[in-house]
Amino acid sequence: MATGGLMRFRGILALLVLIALTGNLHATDLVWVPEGASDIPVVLTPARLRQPQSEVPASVTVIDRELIEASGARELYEVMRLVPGMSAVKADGNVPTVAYHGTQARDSRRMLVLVDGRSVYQPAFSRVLWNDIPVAVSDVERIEVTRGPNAASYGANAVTGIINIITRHPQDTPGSSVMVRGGNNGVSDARLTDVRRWEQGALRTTVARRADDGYDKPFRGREIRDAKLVETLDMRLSHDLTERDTLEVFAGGALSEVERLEEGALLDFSTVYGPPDEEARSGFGQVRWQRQWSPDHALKVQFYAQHLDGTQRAELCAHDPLTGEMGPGGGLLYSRELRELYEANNRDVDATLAAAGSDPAVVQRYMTLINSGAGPFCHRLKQDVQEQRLDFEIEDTLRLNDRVRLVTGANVRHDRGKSVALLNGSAHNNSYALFGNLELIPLRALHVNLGGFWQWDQINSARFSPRAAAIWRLAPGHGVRLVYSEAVRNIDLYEEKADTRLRAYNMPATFRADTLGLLGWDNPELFVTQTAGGDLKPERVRSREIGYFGRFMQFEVDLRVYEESLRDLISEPTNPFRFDATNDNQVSHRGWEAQASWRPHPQHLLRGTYARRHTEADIDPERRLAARHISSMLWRYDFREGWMFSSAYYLARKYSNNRFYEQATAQLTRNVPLARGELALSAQLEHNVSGDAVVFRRNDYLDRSRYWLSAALNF
Amino acid sequence: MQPIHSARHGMWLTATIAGVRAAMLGVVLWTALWVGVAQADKGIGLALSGAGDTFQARFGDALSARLEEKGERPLWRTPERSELLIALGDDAFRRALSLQRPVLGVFVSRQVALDAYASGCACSAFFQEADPVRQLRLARILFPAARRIALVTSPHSAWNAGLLLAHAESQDLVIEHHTAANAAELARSLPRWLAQADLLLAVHDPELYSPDTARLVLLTSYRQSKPVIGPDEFFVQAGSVASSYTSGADMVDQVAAAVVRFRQRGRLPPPDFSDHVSVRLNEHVARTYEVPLQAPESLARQLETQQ
Repeated sequence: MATGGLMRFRGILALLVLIALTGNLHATDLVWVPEGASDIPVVLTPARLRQPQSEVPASVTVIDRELIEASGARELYEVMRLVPGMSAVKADGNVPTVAYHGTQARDSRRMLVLVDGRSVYQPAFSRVLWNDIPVAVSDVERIEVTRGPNAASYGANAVTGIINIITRHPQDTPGSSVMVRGGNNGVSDARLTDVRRWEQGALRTTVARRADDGYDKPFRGREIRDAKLVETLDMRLSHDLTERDTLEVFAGGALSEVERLEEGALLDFSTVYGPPDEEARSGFGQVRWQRQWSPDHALKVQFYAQHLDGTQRAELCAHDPLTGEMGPGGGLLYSRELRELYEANNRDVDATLAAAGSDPAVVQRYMTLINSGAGPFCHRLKQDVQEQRLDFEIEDTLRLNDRVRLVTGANVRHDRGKSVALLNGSAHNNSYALFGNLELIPLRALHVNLGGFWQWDQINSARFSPRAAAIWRLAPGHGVRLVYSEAVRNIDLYEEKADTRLRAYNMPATFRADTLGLLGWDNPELFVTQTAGGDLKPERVRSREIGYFGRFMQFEVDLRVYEESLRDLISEPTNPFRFDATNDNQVSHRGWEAQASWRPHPQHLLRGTYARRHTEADIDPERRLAARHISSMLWRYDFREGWMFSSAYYLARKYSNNRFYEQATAQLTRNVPLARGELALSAQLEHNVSGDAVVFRRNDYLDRSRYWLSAALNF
Repeated sequence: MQPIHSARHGMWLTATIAGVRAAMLGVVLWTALWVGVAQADKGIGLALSGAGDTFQARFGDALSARLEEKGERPLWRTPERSELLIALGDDAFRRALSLQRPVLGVFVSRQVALDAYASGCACSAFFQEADPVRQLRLARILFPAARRIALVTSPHSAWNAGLLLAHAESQDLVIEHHTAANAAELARSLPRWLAQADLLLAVHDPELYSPDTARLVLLTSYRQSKPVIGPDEFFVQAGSVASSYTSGADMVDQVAAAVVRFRQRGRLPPPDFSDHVSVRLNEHVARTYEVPLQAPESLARQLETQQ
């Protein structure tokens, strides 16, 4: 009986759904229904559709496939130069820094980056490793950048903005392809993409490698070591389980090898004979299930796990503190006695070294080393880092009627970090979050958006990030928005639980044979150690903005006037040699920015951005990336069937207070149809117009122009 | 007296002649009136065939009402005895051609109708397909900034390109015409073709735009933020932005006008798209693409006046 009742209920429900779906169409008496036409399912349901840009309660830059192609970007981070106010530079050797309203040169802590809904923001050390994002530029469908805090939608760490990278749906990837690229500056890239399709789904797999020499102009007579080699694997599978259920699986990873520059602090007391290299291996798996309960109701459930294993190694010989030369006395820096003196001097390096000569225990240790007959104390330093994240999220979208739409959800996350060098073991953090966003249309021309993200975690306790926005729609395609939002950057595992231990590995045989006798302990560590106080609180940002988005025929414009106040900033260094973590600093930004695109003719696309920013910071490092003017211009010209020319110009004035970043690019591509497939040929040129080094003096090229040629066979 | 008699006789003759003339005029007028009334009473012998009974009955009722508004009296007969046979759909149209009667096809595939017309049949038809040029006009009204129009056809529907290219040139539009032999090729190539276009104009082609491919077409275009126009009202319900189409009521108007013309001139217009159209707009999808909302009726009138 119960089963029969259930069946009847389902039958009635199905009938109601059918009536709801087809009711409007058959309301009139005379409807000619060609064979099969009425079987067409409702595909783009209201719950699936995204908001039009003029109704989004934030300043958004969308970079679509056409722009990505026109940018000629080799690497993902380069595309970000098309975003107003975005700094996208290789500030730290060959490691990109991408920061909206950037301040610190190596800072990627304050902006969230998502790839297909998965956060690539690394939890233990608050960073985004752009080199290791396993997505080839050719696989990116669209990048949506929210300029301004948006923690109300995405949670903590969406402080200055959010970059949402959306890869191509496997169904949309034209076909399998193989690409090779080569040029000066050691550019040597290759990519292989394989696409499989079946009736209900498709699978795309891309294997890619890219390599270059980085900045290659010697600095102060020394070669800059920042060559890199990155190999990536990326897979995306989509399968329609039913008409209303879609399952997606994402997986991939990266192997990167990057030459690094020596730490300045290391050079103070060591000679580096094996310069540092950094290796990272990362992998992830992600599953997403989406269900359309009805045209107005959709559910998304997602789980992902990711892992990163990175190591930086350097081979060096410690200087004898007395002579300043390499010798067995260098072992003193790794002795138990010097560590004890360091602790006794309140962890003041200078005071410790000054007192070393008068400390009997240290002197005794030094004499032991000198008389040991051992050679120079040469060894390997290793910074190991492992980061893991498990993330489960459920999101429900419900459209109550034409005027009310509600998005709610919950998130559970487990972050774990492990590092002998930086955490002296492992640490973890569990977080729980609830979020909601209510879109209201009280008047035809007025849209109100109220959102909030409540989050609790073991380190930062409970935080709530609210947002309120009102959008006045002057006309379809035109919206004036007023937005107030707050966000926090959570204290990460390292800032909370740092306990640095730089151990000496691969010591000379003499030291290995009698480590305890020569250095005073079995596992010798550099005398310098740092420990977090555990009393930091999250960084906060408060933002107010007035914006306008408008579209007139072929012309589109977005304007943003803003004021952002960042408080409780942790601005001082937090590395193993200096750890001055406090919440004492603050930064404020005021300014305006604009982006405009115009298609005057079907074959021409013009686009420009400009950002004017006035930054006040109470500490110099927070001004390094604070360029007063940032702009970009791009022209795409599809001048003949299969031919495309594009050119771009990027300007940032000025980084580090005095350096122009001024680059121009040009690209010519030709697609040659083949009997089965297509051959795509491309020539690209990138020219450093200003001739200035990038951010720092050492970041410079031998040749101001870089060029590369590529050939891709699509089949 | 004779003259008087003669005079009286002459007067009688004149009166008689006048009376005969009046009587003859009366007879002629009566006959003319009678013939006229009889002719009007006779009406036009019509027959309907095809489609389901329900649709056919409703179509017949609506057509009768429309014809009567126009002063015509339809006489519904069997197909064999009809003066004009109205055939609903391809199958009915093909069957009707064998009856050796004048045939007006309704909701007939363009190719079927043109093939029959070219073979010299006493027939005509109004196509079931939407006029692609009208669809392009609709696209221009809704997306005035769109200049690059993707048109994907199979070899069977490639004729659309011919009509559109001529029109597009005068409108400074670029029609990016691509041919896909089947749904599999469409799936493979559509993303690439869409990349270089502002919108997709979907045309009537059961091979490429069907319930089986709706998801592919609509999701692929949506992921690339490329709106779809057409091919019919059912696709609009599924997720294309809008389409013009000929509703049953529109077709009744169109057929009524053709019947009156047939009755007056004794011939049918050549096969063509219907002049009377409706527009269906998916408001949710239109909002996503920031299309200024307009009443579908207003859009339909704009399309009709642009013809």
